[in-house]
Amino acid sequence: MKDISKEIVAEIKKGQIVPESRFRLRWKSYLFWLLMSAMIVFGALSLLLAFANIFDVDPRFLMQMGLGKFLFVYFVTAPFLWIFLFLCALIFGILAFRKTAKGYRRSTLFITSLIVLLISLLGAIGHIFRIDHQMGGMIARKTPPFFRELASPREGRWMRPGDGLIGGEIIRVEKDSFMLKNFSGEEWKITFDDKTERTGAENLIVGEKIGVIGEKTGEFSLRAFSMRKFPTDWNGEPPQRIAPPKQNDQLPNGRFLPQRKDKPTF
Amino acid sequence: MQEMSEVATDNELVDLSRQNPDAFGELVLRYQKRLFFYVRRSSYFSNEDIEDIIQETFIKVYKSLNIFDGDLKFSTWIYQIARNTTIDAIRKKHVRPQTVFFEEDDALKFFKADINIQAQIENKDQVKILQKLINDLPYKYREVLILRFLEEKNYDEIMDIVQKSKGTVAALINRGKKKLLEAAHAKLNLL
Repeated sequence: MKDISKEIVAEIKKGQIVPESRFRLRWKSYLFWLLMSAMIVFGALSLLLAFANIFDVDPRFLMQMGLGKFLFVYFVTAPFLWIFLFLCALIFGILAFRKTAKGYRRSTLFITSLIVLLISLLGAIGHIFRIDHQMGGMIARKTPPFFRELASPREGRWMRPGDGLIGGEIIRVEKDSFMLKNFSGEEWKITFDDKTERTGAENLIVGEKIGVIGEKTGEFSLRAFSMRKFPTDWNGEPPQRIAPPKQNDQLPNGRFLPQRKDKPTF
Repeated sequence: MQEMSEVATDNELVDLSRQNPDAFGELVLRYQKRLFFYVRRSSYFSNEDIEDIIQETFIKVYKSLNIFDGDLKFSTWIYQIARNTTIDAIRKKHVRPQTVFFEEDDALKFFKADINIQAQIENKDQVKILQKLINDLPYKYREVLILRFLEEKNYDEIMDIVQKSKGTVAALINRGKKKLLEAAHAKLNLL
């Protein structure tokens, strides 16, 4: 083979070729790092919403329904959308890492573990800052109904009166019962007694959202064994606790209406 | 300049080349022959085509000097670029390498771990059969076997040159060796 060193140097000088900038040579790799980071953030949000849905399940479900039924309800109301999106983020994150300049050096197991760890860490931080609550509310308020059903399967879980599960908004309170408007707009009469367990639902307030575990006793009636209050931003709709001012009420200065004083409580 | 170039390491020459293309000439001198034989063993191109590939490789290396950070050995990095340039050239021709050039000694190097085969190869015809068997190997196996047995690269270097994980490289080398040995035993009726 002939010596080509002089030819190469001459070509470099003649063509005024210069070493290119690091960014220009590596932009694709940087783009894949960016994509991987985006996938990690997206994966963390998906995981956050999946867990928010999964941990909504009360252990009393198990006692009430038995293991078989519990698993069935759990399965049909699992947050498949968020689990699917989490898996997509994980897969695309791995592929993006592989495409970075040194991505080939690490084993798939290492990359998967690393991305899962980062997603979990971000998810934990997001949970501490209650981002899951804010996102859940936002999704429920600003997304079309068909997507809401997919995105927030908790509602579906609390719309199974046949299995003794019902959730909705309290619309009227009586001595040993109250009327509940469920998420599909049906009105249910819920009866309770001293043995009924209450978690955060010691006082029943009109407008608040509540979940009831019990036994169906009629077409639109249910006997409650356990009642739990939902967070105020549950399914994105704040409770209707602010009533319009009465004729004699005087509005205070500023934009805020006064809190209703005569809350019907039990 | 020449004296300095002769004692300078590859990395020092890279630093010099960023400022002065003449220093790059020394790097070309050091690697042109090695790369020529490497490309000849990996592809079916004529000597003229191989020289073109080598020239293109060196120009790419020069343009990319700013991303060489010493994380890889320079020899590994330049092999990586030569390999990619060769593959691009193969793609342009729309044909997979069919018959590549191996010296007789080269063919035997593939079997250096198998004393049985080395001892039983008696004549040039048998060596030619071995050469054909190597040529018949799928490209992905032949590529890593060439780097391992002819270029004498270690697993880490091969991983960086072919840009595949170490596990994949190890698996390709083992499977390639196994295929080659099985074919050699069958073709040459060896024990």
